[in-house]
Amino acid sequence: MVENKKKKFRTQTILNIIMILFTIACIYPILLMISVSITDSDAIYEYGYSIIPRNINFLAYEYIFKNPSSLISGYLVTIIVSFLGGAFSLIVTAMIAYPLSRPDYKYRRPVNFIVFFTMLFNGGMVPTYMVVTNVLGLKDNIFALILPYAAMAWNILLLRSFFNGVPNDIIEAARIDGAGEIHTFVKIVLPLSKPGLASVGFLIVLRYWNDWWLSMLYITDTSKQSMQYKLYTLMKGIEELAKDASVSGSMSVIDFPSESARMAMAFLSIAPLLVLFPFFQKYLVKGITLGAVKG
Amino acid sequence: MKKRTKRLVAGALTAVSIMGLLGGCGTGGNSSEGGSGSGSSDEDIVLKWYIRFDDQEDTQKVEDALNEIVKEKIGCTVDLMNIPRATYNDKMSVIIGGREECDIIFTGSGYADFWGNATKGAFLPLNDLLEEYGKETYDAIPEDIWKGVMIDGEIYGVINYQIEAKTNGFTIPEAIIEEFNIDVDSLTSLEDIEPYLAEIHEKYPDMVAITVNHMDTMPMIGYDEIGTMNSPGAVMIGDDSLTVVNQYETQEWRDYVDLMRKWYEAGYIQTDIATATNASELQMAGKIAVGFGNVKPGGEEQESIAWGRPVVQKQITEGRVLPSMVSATMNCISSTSQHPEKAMELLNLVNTDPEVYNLLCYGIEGEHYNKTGDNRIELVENSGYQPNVDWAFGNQFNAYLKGDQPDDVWEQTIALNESSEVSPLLGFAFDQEPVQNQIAQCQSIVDQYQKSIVTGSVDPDQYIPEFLDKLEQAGADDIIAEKQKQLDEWKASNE
Repeated sequence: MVENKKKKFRTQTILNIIMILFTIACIYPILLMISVSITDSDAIYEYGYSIIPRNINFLAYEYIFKNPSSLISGYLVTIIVSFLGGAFSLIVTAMIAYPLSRPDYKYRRPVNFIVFFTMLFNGGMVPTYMVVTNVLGLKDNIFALILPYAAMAWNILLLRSFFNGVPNDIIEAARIDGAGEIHTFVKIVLPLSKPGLASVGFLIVLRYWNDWWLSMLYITDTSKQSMQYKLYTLMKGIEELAKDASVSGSMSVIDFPSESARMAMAFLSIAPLLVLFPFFQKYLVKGITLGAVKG
Repeated sequence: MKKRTKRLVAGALTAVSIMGLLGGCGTGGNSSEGGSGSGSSDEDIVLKWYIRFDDQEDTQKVEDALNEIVKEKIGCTVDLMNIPRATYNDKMSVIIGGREECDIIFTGSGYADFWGNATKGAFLPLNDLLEEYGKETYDAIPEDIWKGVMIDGEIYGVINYQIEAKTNGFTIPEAIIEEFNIDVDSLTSLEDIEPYLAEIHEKYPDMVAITVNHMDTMPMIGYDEIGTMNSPGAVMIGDDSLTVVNQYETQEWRDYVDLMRKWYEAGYIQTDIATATNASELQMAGKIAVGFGNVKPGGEEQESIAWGRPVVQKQITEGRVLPSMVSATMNCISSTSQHPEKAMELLNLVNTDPEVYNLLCYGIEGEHYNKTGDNRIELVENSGYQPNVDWAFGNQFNAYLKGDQPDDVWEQTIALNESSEVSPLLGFAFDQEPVQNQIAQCQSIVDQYQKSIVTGSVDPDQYIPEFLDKLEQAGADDIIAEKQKQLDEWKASNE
């Protein structure tokens, strides 16, 4: 008994130590990032990065928030696109993936092939741009930030394999009980695939959240540009200054805290997700365990 | 099974071709819309000008003020479509590639791929338009310099006239000159600084004794590069036969590398120079004793700000008008423009009317800047309009003076442009097409080796032969032969 307890205690300790180390490995970079973002840039140059900030100042944040309304509108766009767009994309993805998972769907192979084909080949940047702006007329429209990622082949295939996990017998049973296709899909298949929907949904939201490319291509109205795009232009703009210097033969002088600003931007772009994550975590953990049991 | 796949592929192809048709319809519709617009009076014309600067709070205000003048002078209005510098090239590639209707596009060899797009027909040839609507603009720039934006005798861009000559020299803080008793006038070559570097290094071992701008090595050691910078194939300055050689095989380059190596080993150069990006921060922090790179009229005043202390510049090479400088920044008229004449009138106005030009550069007087002299201004700090790209709008010599710029900085610069020797390669546009694979391969090898060799970070005895060998395998000889062939043809057609 005592032996056993001791052994258990030992494994517990080892596990705990491993977990603590792992947690530190996860948290340390984030703390470092925050610390650097509030360190004076001269101090960074002098002493390098350090976890305890030296010569604390908030210049980097001041610089970024020089124009707060612009950043706030960027946040709003990102949030709207991530969540409304994410929900829309998830619905579309699920509606494509479900029929593909049904063995009795007649055109399963060709449709599968078409979906898969888009992973290997795409129209290229210019034709895509022309379709979105000229054919669909979405220039400067917030839908241009949502529709291009609404049906991603990878997500469809991922969700399809989740739907494959729903036993065909249940679907048969539902049909025998008189449920229509839509009813079966909404009431039976979707609830059974919640973990899959949660994981794919998370991927989709993340994709929208991190995107600056679509804003760059299709949006010129600054009030409709996403936050990531605004941060990207701010940061990349600094690098481009060097090129300008060689063109104009002069260096535009800017007193820009580049190191700390980089970190401040990284922090600003992940902060909202850090706050939201604990609320999502519940579903994610459930998703993983549910999946495991079924496995 | 196989049949099915075949049918599928056929289906997919049909779908693709239908999409193509739709796309065609889309653009067709657009151009007809534009066509009907061109019939109406000038007042309805809105010129779309794609220009590269970051979003400014007051761009609209400046645009309104600009339009008041433009409407009165040429009778139409302008829509300033500014695109942030970070995304300009990506965005312009879809706008130009998508044949979007617009009138003026800011471009240059490094911005929105001037050479590529001009050869593909994205920009209008401007000889006739300049003749008819832009005479003043044309006359303000020496004829030799216009050659730098010509393809087959046609001008494709209105050059934003600025400093077109490259000169190299030292930039040294006054305090260092005093402390080490540097005789600035005696410095006539890069080697002349060496004894001082030894003293500086001895006294301040933590300090970087010298930083060298390696971007312009070739012109400095006496070679004009052809086409993309750093791609093999250059012509020795003063060689009238225009013989193309591999610049990395020359004795001059070897000597230069040896000097850098010597300094690197002596500790005069920072040890992480090959990867360092913090030169301007070091400079500001007073950790650099001597800088070597571009110098120009008014440069001392400008660099004093960048160094955070008064500096002195000493030019050691003669000015040289290089193709890369001339095609660096210009405005082109898009071939999708419905009103090329009006667009040229506008460009002419911007390039010749200081009021219009300064409005674009600095905004509205009293709000974004204040006049402190007849032709001198002071920018209002944190104002809502500071695009900071005078050189992207037009002729820079119409600009107001700022800060400590000497009164005659533009006269000095123009004099430098006109007195500098013009590279004989000006007007020769190298067509990369036949050897583009070799160029791409050589580029990646150059990226891999050139910087570490030229900064002295690695042993040249070992790495230069390796570098040359790899270049040869990647097809450097083909590139050089192609350059020579095109150059000979161009020379023959010019005689």
